[in-house]
Amino acid sequence: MKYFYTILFFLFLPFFAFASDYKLEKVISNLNKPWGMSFIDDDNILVTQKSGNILKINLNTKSILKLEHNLAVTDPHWQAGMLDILYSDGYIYVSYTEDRGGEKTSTSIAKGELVDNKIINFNNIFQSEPPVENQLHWGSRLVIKDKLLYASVGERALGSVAQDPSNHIGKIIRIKTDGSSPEDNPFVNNPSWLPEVYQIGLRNPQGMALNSNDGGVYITNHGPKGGDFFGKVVAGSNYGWMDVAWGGVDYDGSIIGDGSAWKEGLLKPIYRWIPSIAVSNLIFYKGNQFPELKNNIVLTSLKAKKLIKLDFIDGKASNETVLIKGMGRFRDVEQNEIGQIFVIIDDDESGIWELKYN
Amino acid sequence: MFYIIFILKIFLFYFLPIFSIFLKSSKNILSISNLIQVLWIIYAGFLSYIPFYYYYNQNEVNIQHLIPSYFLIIILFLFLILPFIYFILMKFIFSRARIYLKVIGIIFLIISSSFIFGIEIYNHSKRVVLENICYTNHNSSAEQLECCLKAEYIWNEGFSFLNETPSNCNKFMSWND
Repeated sequence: MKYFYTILFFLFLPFFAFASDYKLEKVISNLNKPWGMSFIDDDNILVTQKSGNILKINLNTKSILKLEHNLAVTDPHWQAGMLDILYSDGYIYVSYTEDRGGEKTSTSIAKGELVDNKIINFNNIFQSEPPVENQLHWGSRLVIKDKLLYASVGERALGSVAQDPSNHIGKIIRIKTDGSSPEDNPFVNNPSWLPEVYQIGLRNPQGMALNSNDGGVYITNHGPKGGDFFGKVVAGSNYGWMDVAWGGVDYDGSIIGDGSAWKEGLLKPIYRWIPSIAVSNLIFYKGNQFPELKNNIVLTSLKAKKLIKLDFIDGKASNETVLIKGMGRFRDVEQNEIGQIFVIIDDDESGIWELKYN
Repeated sequence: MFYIIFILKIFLFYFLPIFSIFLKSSKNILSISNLIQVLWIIYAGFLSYIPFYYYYNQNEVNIQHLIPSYFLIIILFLFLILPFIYFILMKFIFSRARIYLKVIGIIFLIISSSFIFGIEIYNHSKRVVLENICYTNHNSSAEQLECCLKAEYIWNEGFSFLNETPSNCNKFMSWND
């Protein structure tokens, strides 16, 4: 009988684990429209605010230090402002909407060294071309893999321009950390393609993460009305915007292209949301504090106001589970080396929250 | 069917106030004339607000991102409060002023109805294209076709719903499998 109960216990253990409720505990409050964050170490985190600020926050002492810079960040209007941030090997990388003059703006990336709470030699290493006159769809997530920087650039509401390889609009770009183009980029020797271009045909990729298990870089992308997706960054591939809309339609109700979600020759998304949830950043959880999340995806959504878990097995995503719902627009999620998970909510309750068991 | 309902809506929208013009004004607050006008005010307010709400909701366009928040109040004022004021003035102003007011009222009706019915026709024209996809690609059974025609999102390879998915339609929605 003892063995029976033991077997029964282990049989149902996973269900108990999944049945656990989660909660968010506020760590830092009153941040004005935070957008991105990146850990320096387990306690110290860098946070961007759309207003243009870069903050260094100690999660234990709650001290907030504003790091000065002189980047030409546009006013935080609509989706514009200081966007993602990435800390790697003593250097800070930020993506932001740069004022390029004449009301034109671009998704730009700057790099500087963090020394004694100051950013030195903080200069652009990338400017998306061409600059555009609107305040929409910047993309802007940053990931470093094998000392190469991957960045997403939104299509600036220009639609089919995402199919034109002679610009950076609606693309994933891949550059060295000094801003130059790697020699093994897929189209580096093709004069009709910009050398930084790595993947084309995206709309507004607002999430990007490295999966340390398979070494792949993955993105989330905002579809139009419907058609948000999670997918892989694959060299030289095309997600098809705006020939296809991944199941979405345009905001005025029109079909996009011929109404197809996918066509031969295009890369297929791994997982889609129809209706759209306004999917934002994601992580592949690698810690031990939440065993049921390990090696799976935790991702954020703005419109649906959810923190979501997706099982990720053999390159396939499934079993969507809502961890937290309704607390606000979840913008960013990050993990530290000891397995804590933190999220940014950028509503009225703007701040950083930590995921905990109930 | 859309056009029958559409014409009926336009007919009611114009007929009731025009009809009321020719009705003799009654001092009795419970008269048929007054009743018709009150019903029309409710109908006009309902008919005018719904397309705006429906359009922005269905298209996932956050109206507050497109227009200042006070504009919602202006919309309500234009399409609900103003006809109400028009009605009140109608009852208590002398005959010559009343004629001018009725003319202004009719002009207001023409302008507002062009918005109201314009949006409805526009939405319908977009919807017909999507429903054609249902008839072409999602007609393997009457049940599937019925689900598709009810869906808010329709594309060549599938369809989906904005809110609650009807339980019998889940089996046709496996695009993530």
